[in-house]
Amino acid sequence: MLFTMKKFFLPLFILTMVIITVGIWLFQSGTAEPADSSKFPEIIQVIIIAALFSFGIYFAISRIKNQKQGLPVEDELSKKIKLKAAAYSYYVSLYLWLIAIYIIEEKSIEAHIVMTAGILGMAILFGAFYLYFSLRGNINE
Amino acid sequence: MNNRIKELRARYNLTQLDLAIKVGVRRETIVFLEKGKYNPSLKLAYDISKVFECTIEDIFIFN
Repeated sequence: MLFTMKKFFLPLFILTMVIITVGIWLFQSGTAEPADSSKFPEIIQVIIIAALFSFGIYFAISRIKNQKQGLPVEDELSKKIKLKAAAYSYYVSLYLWLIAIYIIEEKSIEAHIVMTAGILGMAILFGAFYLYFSLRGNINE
Repeated sequence: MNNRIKELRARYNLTQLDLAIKVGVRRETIVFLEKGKYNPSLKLAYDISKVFECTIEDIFIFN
């Protein structure tokens, strides 16, 4: 029971902590002020955080649903999908960080903004790959 | 690889959820198996064959 609770609440807890931390960081650095037309990138950051949170909520609900039906919250297919999504998002994020380094070097954008975008980008990549492999299914190929 | 899971499930009058509970996987895994979009592990193939009381080769057909 404790193991199942840990499996269920731990991902949600981590996601919530990441979102809260990013939120505090953005507000303290003054990059997440109320949105207007001149703050478009900040609006995107807020949308990304909201998307990540929605993704986490979706996972939590699907896990609760499975548990209520007497099914495991995680099985061999979901583990494989998770691993493959993690591997692909890591691989693609290497290129993402190369672009980030180029932007920091060449453009006059502050490093912390590029790093925030990079970290959120990695999370989005993982979510996108997870969704893709979950829908595609051909995980053995 | 093709399989006869859907056919055998109908013969045994089992829903996807029933089979998922019996073999200890999520319903989505059964859906992907039936569509031929996922090749199960040896353990899962063995568990499924036990539910349908036949051999693995009777269920999973290698092309």
